[in-house]
Amino acid sequence: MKRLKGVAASPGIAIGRSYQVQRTRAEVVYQEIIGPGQVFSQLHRLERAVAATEEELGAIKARVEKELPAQVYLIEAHLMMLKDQLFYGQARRLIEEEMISAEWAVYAASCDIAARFAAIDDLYLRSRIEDVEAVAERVLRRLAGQPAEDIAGIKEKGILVARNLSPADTTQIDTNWVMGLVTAMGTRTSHTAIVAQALEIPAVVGLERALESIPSGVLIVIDGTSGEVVVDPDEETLFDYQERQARFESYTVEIRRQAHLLARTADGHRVSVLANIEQADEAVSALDLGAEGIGLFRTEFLYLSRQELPTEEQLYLDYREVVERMSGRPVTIRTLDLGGDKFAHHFDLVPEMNPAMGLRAVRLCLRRPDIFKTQLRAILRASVHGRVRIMFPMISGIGEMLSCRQTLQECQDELKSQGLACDPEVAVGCMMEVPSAVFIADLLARHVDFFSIGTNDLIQYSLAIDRVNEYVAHMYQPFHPGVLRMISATIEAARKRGIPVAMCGEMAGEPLSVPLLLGLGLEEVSVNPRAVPWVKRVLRSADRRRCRRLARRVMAFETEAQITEFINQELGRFFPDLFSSEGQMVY
Amino acid sequence: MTEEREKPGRPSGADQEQGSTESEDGTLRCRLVVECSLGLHARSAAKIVALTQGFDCEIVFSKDGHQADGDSILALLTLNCPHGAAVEVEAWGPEAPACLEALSGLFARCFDEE
Repeated sequence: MKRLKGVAASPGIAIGRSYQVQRTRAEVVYQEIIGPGQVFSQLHRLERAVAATEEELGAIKARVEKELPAQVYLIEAHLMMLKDQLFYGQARRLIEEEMISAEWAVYAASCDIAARFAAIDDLYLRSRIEDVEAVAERVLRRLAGQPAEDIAGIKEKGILVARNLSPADTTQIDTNWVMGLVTAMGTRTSHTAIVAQALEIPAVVGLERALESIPSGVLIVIDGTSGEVVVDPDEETLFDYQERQARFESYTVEIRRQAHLLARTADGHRVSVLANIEQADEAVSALDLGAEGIGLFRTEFLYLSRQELPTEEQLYLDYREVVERMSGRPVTIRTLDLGGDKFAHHFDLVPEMNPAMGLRAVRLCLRRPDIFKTQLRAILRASVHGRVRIMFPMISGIGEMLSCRQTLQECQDELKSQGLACDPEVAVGCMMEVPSAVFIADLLARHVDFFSIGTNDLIQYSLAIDRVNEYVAHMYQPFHPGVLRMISATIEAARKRGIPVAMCGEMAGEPLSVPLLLGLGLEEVSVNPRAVPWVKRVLRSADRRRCRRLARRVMAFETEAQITEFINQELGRFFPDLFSSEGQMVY
Repeated sequence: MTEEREKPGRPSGADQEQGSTESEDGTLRCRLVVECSLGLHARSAAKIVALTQGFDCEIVFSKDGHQADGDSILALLTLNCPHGAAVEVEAWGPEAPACLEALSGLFARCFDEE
């Protein structure tokens, strides 16, 4: 028995056989000299193998484009490597000149490339040899008649163990077979973690030497809540984890069962828990999971999923579907939050150097009133079918807010003169995600009916951290005192003006931050539908007065590290039934 | 979108534009500096390949006596260009001037990444 410790990335316990996903060369390499008469047939074999690999990568690219567009470049780079003269061209030359088999030529070409990479002193560049090897392996497997091991093709129940999983890998995970993930690389916010959480399978990442420590085919236990991995557990340990697994599962079921109860704190204070959705049909599962409304309906999908711009009628029907499904519960529709980069084909814009701070969201919409008005009219028309709130993203100043309201008013007047109905009382709010908006929150509050704090962008913009950039991702800290002050200031400004304030970023769905947010005075959160039951569970055992004291003490600390440590400790004390002293959910 | 934002406007970016010279055989030459913090890595190399493939001309990068064809991602990666590295670029063919201009733009914009 061996105990290992990695980074907890997706909660739950999995017990099963390890299954190593090795991204190394296929075992088909052997030197074979061919006669002059065979050159043509070997070239032909190589061509077919490369064409098949190209098709394989093309299919993966199509899938990644849909699900993880930011990672498409990786697959594109693989496609380029496949057809590169140093790889494909060199392999062809070796067959013709050295008269060796296609396998040996591919292997030899990739060894030549590896030698070039080995001479590089920059660690990051040097490690790109892994990409070349991954491509060469695909071709070698094709030559051997055994296509590259596709994770989608795994038909054996097990826990995947890999050095790292690429987007090409994780998009193919079939949870009927894959029970959990262990990787040597990665952090709590890395791609593998996000995918595992979405699939609701346990994951431990950042477990150094995972491949060396966990052979294929042995019984392992992974605890995605604590980060522990046990290789070849003894009977007692196994029994212990089986019990914990059962407890976790029944706890999850129990929490889901309670999801329909109102989120009322122990001292009787109500907090609304709503859901964030991207597509109309998600409203159904949001309701099933106990959401009390939609706090953020992202409306980009209909624009990205087609070549032409959606019509007012298409948008109206989509919004109306959600509004009707929620039957009277609030539906907060956020207007288009896209940058020019996301749909250049609609806008004829030049690529921007810094799209996150470029022409996007309301900036883009105000420039293109035709597109903006089409969406606003659709939202207004849907508003008669229930309770709609309109939310403008990326507001940075009063001028922008007034322009948005002005455009909205024009749409309302137009609809009225056309005899089309809309809710005259529709609530209008803005996202609080640009630091300047936070600093003028008191002024902004005069011009809106509600605020919704978008923590993902607010954190990114105020800490100047792109959390997708692996070199700085660890500095993306929701508990940074600067971020907490911004949140607190926004809540305070809303309270003074008497308007409601919600939070719709990922931070709101993190059980660990819920007591603090409650203590800061937040009265509405909107979270990923899957997080709704958990957030409600925490709220129901929370006591607002205690949370206020917690918040007060938190705001006095100087560093994120102190705050995190303090919160972990305190939550373990406040909610012994919910959190351990290390800030993990207990069950 | 981080600390490198102001760089394209710095003198090195301007040098890149002015540094282009034409030799007697019609070959254009210029010097480009890799300004992005990650160096010339997979994403940026892929962008160079995609760009050069769109022009009717030959592009050769060289650094420290090694050469890389503009349409070979592997050669570009192994040219070993970390942050701050300077590369010589040669271009010839009907669309060489346009291609060189587009390339120096791509370098100056830090490959549209930062």
